[in-house]
Amino acid sequence: MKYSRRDFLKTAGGGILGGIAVLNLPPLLKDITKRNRGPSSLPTVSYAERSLEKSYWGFVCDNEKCIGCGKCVVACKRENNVPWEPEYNRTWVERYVINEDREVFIDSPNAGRDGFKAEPMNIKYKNLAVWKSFFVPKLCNQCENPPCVTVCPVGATYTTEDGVVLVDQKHCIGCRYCVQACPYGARYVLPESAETHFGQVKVVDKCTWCYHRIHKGLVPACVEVCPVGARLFGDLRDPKSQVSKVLKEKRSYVLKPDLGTEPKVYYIGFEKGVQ
Amino acid sequence: MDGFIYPNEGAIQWDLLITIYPYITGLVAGAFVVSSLYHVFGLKALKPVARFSLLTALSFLLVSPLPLVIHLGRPERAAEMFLTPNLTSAMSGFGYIWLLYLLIVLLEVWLAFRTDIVRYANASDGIKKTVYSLLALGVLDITEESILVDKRLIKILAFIGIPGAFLLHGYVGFIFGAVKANPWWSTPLMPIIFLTSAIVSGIALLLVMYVVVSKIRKVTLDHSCLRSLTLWLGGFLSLSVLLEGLEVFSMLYESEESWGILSKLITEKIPIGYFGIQFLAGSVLPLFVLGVVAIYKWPDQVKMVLAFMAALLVMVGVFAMRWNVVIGGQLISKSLSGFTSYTPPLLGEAGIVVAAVIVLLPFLIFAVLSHLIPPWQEEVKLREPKRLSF
Amino acid sequence: MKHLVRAGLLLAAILIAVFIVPRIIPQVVPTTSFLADYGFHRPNNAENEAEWASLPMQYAESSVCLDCHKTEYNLWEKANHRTVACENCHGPTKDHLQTREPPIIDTSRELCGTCHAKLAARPASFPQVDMNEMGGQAQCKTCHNPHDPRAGMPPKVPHSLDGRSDCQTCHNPHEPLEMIPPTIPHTLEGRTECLTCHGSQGLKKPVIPQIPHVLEGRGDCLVCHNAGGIKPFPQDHAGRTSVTCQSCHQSK
Repeated sequence: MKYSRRDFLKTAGGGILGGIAVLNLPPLLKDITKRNRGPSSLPTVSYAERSLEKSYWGFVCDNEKCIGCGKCVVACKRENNVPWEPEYNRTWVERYVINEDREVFIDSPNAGRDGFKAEPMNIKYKNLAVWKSFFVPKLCNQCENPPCVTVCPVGATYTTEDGVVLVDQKHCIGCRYCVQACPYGARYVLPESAETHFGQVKVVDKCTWCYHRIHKGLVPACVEVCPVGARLFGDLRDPKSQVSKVLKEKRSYVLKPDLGTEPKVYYIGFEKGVQ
Repeated sequence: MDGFIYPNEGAIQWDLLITIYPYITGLVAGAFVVSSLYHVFGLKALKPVARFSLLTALSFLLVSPLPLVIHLGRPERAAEMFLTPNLTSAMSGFGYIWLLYLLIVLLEVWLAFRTDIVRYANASDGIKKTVYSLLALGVLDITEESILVDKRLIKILAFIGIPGAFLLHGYVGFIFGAVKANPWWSTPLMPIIFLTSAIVSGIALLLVMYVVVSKIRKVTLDHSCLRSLTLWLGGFLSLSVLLEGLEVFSMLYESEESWGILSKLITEKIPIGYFGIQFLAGSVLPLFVLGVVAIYKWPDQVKMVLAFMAALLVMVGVFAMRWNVVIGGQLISKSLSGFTSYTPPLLGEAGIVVAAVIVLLPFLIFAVLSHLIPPWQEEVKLREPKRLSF
Repeated sequence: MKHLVRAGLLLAAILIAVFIVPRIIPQVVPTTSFLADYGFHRPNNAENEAEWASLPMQYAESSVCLDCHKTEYNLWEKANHRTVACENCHGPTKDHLQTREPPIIDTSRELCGTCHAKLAARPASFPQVDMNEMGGQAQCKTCHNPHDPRAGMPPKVPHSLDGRSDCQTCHNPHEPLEMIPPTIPHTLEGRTECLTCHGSQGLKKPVIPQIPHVLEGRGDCLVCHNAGGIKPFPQDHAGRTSVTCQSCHQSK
């Protein structure tokens, strides 16, 4: 049989294309069909058997209790070396003021870091016929279906087994697509002056639910210092944890449920107009 | 800042550099479509600009990664997009799409210019001969058979290059359109809107460049080519306006929660750029002018001037569209309760000067390329290739 | 077609370099090489997870303070401020443990006011006062023990009441607390009968009933305890609003 150059080229071309397909397609398919997890998708373990690796963390913010003192913001900045300036926040507190016409006014002076004393409502909202007002703590919702993880072009942000979304700052290229994709404004870019533990700048940072604390059996810093118990943290799969008990008893809601992000920060005290 | 924005939203993240990136890739897509109209669909009227538009597409394609890499927080890690792409991200496609499309365009340019390259290689000596020989990959003879094979390959490449161009620019539209967090961006129409306005800007660019370059070279324009460009420009422009109008009208009609802040965006924050430049000056007025040029029997010179001005307006209008989408979308807070503001700095990494340099760079590359391998079709048969001289 | 063959070879070389080589590298280099990191979607997040999990802590837990500060802790643990973590006022434990220097304790009115200043957006059941009135310019800890803020509240009258029927003869709300006689550290709204709260030593001791039920779900005392309600307040409480109830009546 005559094996011409043409046949050789055909074989070689086929070989290259085949090699590309074999080496690239299976990981591509695996990437696209990644499974989603939920608290019931893994077997419940009793409290005694609970180990930190098998937890499924949840967070509760109680709008009915928050007093807007801002201690959570300060503690978070100190615990995690977040830049002190108010443009960089892993967590913050918002104040909602609703007037008699049901118009909603929101403010967050310095992200709530210094409390709200400096802007008392009788001065700031002097001409408003205030009907009701309250505080809402905010932080990363560690979504179960995180849009930020989907859009990272290099896979630098990922979800851990216990449900926390982290950023590998050594591989983040600083494209800020995740900042655009987060519906809650939870992400920010570390400025050049930042001095974090990883020593990286101009990459993306966000709340990690104090991953280093929860892996030692403690609660995040913001939960630790909240003086009124407006922030709760625990293992959603443990029926005896604070969060499980509160969520079983009270009605809770999440922010922007219509976007399908499946947040794991549950809010008590729903009010129309909370964004 | 007026109203309420989340504390982390003070400064916008994707600035002027990201605004010019879709503008540049859009020009690539548009120029390539014009070239394919000739090579695939056989529109003879566009022959004078067929190779010209290929070189234009190549010049802009080479520059397109530049604004992206500069804008990255860590540009030294840019290669990670090739090495560890997360394929659920539309942005991760950039590296591969750009590379593959570059290979297609390079191959097509090479095949279209090969006869000329070989001729120049044989007619020159010294360094020039080495350069041309390298470009010809060392094959310095032309046979009738090879020309035929080349022509067929060009046709195939131009054919697969069309979806390639659509992908190159469409994925940018998808990057924005798939962000559910931003109501100004999130629509399935976004890739198509980006694409139609890209084609429009590309045709307009070619029209402008063709007129300018003909003036510089002091040759007469092929007015039937110009007419063809005018008609295609008008056609795609109508489609583009229709889609852009449909998108905003649909939002107005459905009046979802986000419509409150979005209507404030276009009526209070960016009304001049949106209604004034993008729609009126950049779309409606040029459509009117192009329509008039198509219908009335005026002298060719007059038509050329009118078409040229319409094309310039279109190019400005498409840039305004990119601005209104990219910057406008970031001016609104995700809390849907307020706005931030943005003025591009003059100097600095993300400044107007840098952006202007990046947009002008492809013209420089085009000048070099057209000096090296002149694309002018009409002289190939008539006389010695007339070099571009300044 | 010699030219096509050459072009094809060049193309093949580029495709192999871009698509095949990076996928093979992680399989062939040792795992300690930085190149081992490269494959689809970063195969090894465990290392980064471990890095995040092993960051140093600044804050500890309040129970850590018990080891050395038993007295304060035992007092604090049963009092109203037991929900306020020690580190809230005393700063992160790490600073203190490293140097063993006492942390700078902020005893200013501003610190107390961060939580207790009257703000309309705060829940009504949360104890808050008008900082411009309560206590004048004095530090809050002059009357309130920060570890047990309700202890000894309200303060008893430190002198006999013989010949002193009108309290305002000596006590002027506008003078500073340090002066004698001390000013009244609260408004007189709803408080016409001084002795109702302030029994004097030797004279009738004040009997202020504790609140015998939890306050959860009961933000407005007057819902039950109004004049025509389930358990109306006594006659001498007429004119008082819900806001002042908890300034005298402690909850359990």
